[in-house]
Amino acid sequence: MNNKRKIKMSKAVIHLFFCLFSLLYVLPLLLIVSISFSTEESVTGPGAGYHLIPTEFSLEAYDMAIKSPDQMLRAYLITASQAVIGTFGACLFTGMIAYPLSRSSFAFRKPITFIVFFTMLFGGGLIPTYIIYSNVYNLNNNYWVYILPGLCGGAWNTLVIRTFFKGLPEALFESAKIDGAREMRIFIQIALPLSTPVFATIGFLMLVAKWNDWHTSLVYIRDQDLYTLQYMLQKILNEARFLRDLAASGAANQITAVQTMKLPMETMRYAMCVLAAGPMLVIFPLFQKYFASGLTIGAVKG
Amino acid sequence: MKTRILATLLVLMLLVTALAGCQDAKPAATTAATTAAATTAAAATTAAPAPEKSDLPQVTLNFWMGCQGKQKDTDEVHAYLQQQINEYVPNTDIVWTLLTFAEYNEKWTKAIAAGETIDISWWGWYRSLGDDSSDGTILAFDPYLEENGQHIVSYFGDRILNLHRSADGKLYFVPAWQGLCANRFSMYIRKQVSDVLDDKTKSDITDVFVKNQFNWSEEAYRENYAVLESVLKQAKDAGVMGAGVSGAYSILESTYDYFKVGTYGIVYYGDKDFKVQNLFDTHNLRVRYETAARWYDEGYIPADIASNTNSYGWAEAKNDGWAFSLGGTQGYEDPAGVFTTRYGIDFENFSMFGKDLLVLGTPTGTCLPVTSANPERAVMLLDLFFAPEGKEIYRTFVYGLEGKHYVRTTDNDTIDLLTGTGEPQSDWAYGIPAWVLGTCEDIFNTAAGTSKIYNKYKAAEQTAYAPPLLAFSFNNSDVTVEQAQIKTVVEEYEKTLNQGIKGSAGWEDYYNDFLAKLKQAGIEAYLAEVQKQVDAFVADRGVQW
Amino acid sequence: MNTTREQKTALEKVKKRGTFLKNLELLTLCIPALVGYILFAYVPMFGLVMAFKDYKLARGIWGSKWIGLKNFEFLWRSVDLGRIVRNTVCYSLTFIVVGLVLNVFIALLLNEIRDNRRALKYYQTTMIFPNFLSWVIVGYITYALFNPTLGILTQIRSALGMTPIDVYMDTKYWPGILVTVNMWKGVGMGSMFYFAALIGIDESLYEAARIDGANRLQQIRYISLPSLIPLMTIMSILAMGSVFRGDFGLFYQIPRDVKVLYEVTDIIDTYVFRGLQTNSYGMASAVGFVQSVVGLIMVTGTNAIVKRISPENSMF
Repeated sequence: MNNKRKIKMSKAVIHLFFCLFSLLYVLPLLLIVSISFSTEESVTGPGAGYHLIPTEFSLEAYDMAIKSPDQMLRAYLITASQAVIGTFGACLFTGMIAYPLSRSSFAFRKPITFIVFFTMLFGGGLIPTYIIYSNVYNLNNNYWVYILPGLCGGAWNTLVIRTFFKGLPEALFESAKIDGAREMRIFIQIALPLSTPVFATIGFLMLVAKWNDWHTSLVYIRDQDLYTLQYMLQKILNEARFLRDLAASGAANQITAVQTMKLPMETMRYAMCVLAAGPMLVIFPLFQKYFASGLTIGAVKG
Repeated sequence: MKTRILATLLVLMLLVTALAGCQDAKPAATTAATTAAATTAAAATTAAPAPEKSDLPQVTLNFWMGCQGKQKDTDEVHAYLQQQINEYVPNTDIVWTLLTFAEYNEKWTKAIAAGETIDISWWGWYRSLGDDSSDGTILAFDPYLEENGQHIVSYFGDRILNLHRSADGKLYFVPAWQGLCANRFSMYIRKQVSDVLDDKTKSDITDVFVKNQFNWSEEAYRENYAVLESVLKQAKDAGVMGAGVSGAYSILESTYDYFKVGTYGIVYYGDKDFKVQNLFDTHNLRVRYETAARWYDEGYIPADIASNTNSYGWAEAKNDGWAFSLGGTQGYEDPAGVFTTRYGIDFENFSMFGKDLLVLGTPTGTCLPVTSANPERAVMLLDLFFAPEGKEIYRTFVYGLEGKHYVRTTDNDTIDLLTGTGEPQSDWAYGIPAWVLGTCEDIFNTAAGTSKIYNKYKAAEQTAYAPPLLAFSFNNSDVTVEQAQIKTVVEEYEKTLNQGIKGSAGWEDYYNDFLAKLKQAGIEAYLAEVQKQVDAFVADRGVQW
Repeated sequence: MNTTREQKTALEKVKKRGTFLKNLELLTLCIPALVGYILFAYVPMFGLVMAFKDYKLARGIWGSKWIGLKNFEFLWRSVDLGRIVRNTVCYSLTFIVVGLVLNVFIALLLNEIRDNRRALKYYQTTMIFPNFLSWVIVGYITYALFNPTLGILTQIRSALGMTPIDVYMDTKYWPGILVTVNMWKGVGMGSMFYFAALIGIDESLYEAARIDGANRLQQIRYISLPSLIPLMTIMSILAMGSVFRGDFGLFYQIPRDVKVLYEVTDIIDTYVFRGLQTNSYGMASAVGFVQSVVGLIMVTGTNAIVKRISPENSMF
């Protein structure tokens, strides 16, 4: 009886800790959402400040961000599709290479690990990469530039998955080999199902990275219909900032004169954040179920 | 099972979208090209002024332009523009690549690095003319000017064109003209503040600065700052100072910036030896930093200025913002009125310039990238914009189609814009900034302003003062490492000294640290190289004060 | 006698062929990703040569002049070399150690309450949310906290009767602030990996320990932690590869690029950003090269040490 109460109490303490700890995250989240729904004046200026509840409610930041809804929708589609396809593909290929690397009997394990790892440290640089991707692989202004380069998965992800594969009990593989199963089969039917937590984690990480990516669009894409969501939002923000700074530089002419300076720049940044992060935060709980289950080895054995 | 089916369906759906996305990856420029090709045939049979031009070979020009990106009616306008251009420059198809300024440099450099053909492109403030011309990133116009660029030559005149020539005497860049002496130094001051100033101060603002325009002695400097300080003091005493100022202004902005050579060197006005000084080791900047420190202590500069970079501007803070700012009038006819409309509070503008100063047109213009395949035809096209026939073409390019994007009102040169007010934005049906190509003298008169003021600036150019080293551009290839290291030091120390946040007690030690670090970074070697190039320039062009 | 030897060699041959086939299968599994690495990572690597050239856009990589080690002078002759190296390395090492401890700690705690799925969902979702924030936005949040006139910290201090402090003018707070902010942003995702490892542990192990009379803390110490060691090792070895690099956004946006703080906030990456303009590809490439080489040395060194202690956890 005493033991059970002890466990219950410690659990309660842990819950309390997390409630307080999560406040450190929830409060900034509320702040961001609140600012995105405020007017620009109530947020900037020396007399103003940030409030958890908007002092002056307004949708102007979102109006500005979603200037052309069909373009925005298209950007969402592009982003979603390349993120999902890219993640699926990358998870598959990364798993496929991580598995052999985790088998101590694999003869090429050391050289291939080094080959993979080396790419994490050394890279050609932006210009050589662009020249190759654009001139040799024809990926310039091409939808596939979002997906193909990322399919190999990256050394970091590969090595983490390899560690997880290594951690699976050797006994399972032994018994499968005695049954005469081929490596491919072992991989698909034993290793993969047991690794759903790590693939869920890595997959989500990849998804987030691809979802947030705007650099690829900046460098490779010229066609507005192929921009990702983040880049589209960045462009709108940059344009607003550019128009506002135009008067300060010497490059404008007198026609700039009657320009309303009321462009909601600061609040727009927050609206951008909400527009981009929102879907991810909604999707994450769907990944959650791969964590909570915790497949036991016993189940698979049976 | 169900979730698996759903998941596969989702993936298939996304694949379909992806494939659809693939299809649209073809450049949209083909539509413009095909419509243009159709109309070219028609246009060629109609007006053909120069008979020998019509047997020019068919050529496609890739034109890169900085603007607001592709807009709704871009293709339509380009088709019509193509038609208009082909009247004078036949057998030429133009394929436009429209990029926003924020991404222009990134994409431009990558495209050239990859060897992509860009026949002619916009070029501007984010790049250095000295570097690009000496590196060979852009081509010289000279071989093509005689035959195809005579309108360019006659529009700018020899004097202006020669000022834009690089160290080897060649012209690598044609400015987009918007007034080369239009930016007259002045003070924008909140009316709330200017109302409390006594008359002597008000007249001093103009008189003292005009008197001291080229006088950089220590007394003159202190005199200048004293005027500004008295403005601040009176404002503070009356309680209307707001945030004050963001630092001790570079008073010399109106003048010394024109005498800078190679970013960190300066040649004193009237110095017959053209000796290059360390900009930061001059009595001028010493006075500036001393003043800044004093102002910080007095409270004329906000205490949190180091971290607070954006809440004191007039857009946000209105009358709680800066007391005044020094800057150019940028060609506005009524600068105070412009600021009043822009920020919603009343402003007054005091002029602080005496002589008109000429600037180079390097902020915006046109160049021939090294990957240009048809430079002759490109120059022919550019030439058109500076010819009398180019006026209507420029207007189509900037404003769009008559009837759809604008309507003429009182006379042929005055219109009502149907697309929007102010600077063009990406969600307009069509609109390009007036200052990216050609000349602003060709603009329509709109509610925002008239073209007559540009005619005035063009006339003023003849007599505007051009510092002898104006045309000098420094080629830093031998001192790139020193320049980069100096830049890190300057970026670290300069702002702090300008803002005076070390206070009167601490600024001097900090300043001496700064000078020592500059020495360590190699500023002496750097300035020696600048001096070498200045001497060569002076000898070559025979300039004098 | 003969038959046994023949049988032996025949058996060996079968074994060898079996191993050979197995290796071939495994190799086949590797091929897609390897092709990806070769095409997209190794082919562009010729660009490393840019670090040794005076790269000019017009001349291209092969046409540009070879200048040997001159580009590297930007870094090793820097007036601030000591400062930026010290800051970069110290922060990187601190992040590795503190990050490891914090991530494991949070993962262990989450593991204790994982039967309550709703609470788990809520806690994890809130903790990963900073992943979607750019450093610019995080900078705004910290500014809302530390703003000397209106920040939340200032308001609290004046409410408590203390004098307001301007955090942005004083270097002593910043190591702490930067470490805390970085941990805040990273603990959500960072703890997830360890948590994923923890839920893979066989329940029967804990059962057995309970029967033997171990309390929860002992169970954690003797079962959970050891099972996390492979992951902790690999993460640390990988992190050593970036010890000469820093997260630019963190060190630039959070201190708002206030110059007087550079003594504790200036790292190699911010130094490079400050000094180089758009045209300086050769120098930027050289700095990257140095960072990569140092990373390689650190990783191989750490890997060698780990090999001595527990070879199964080393990377290669």
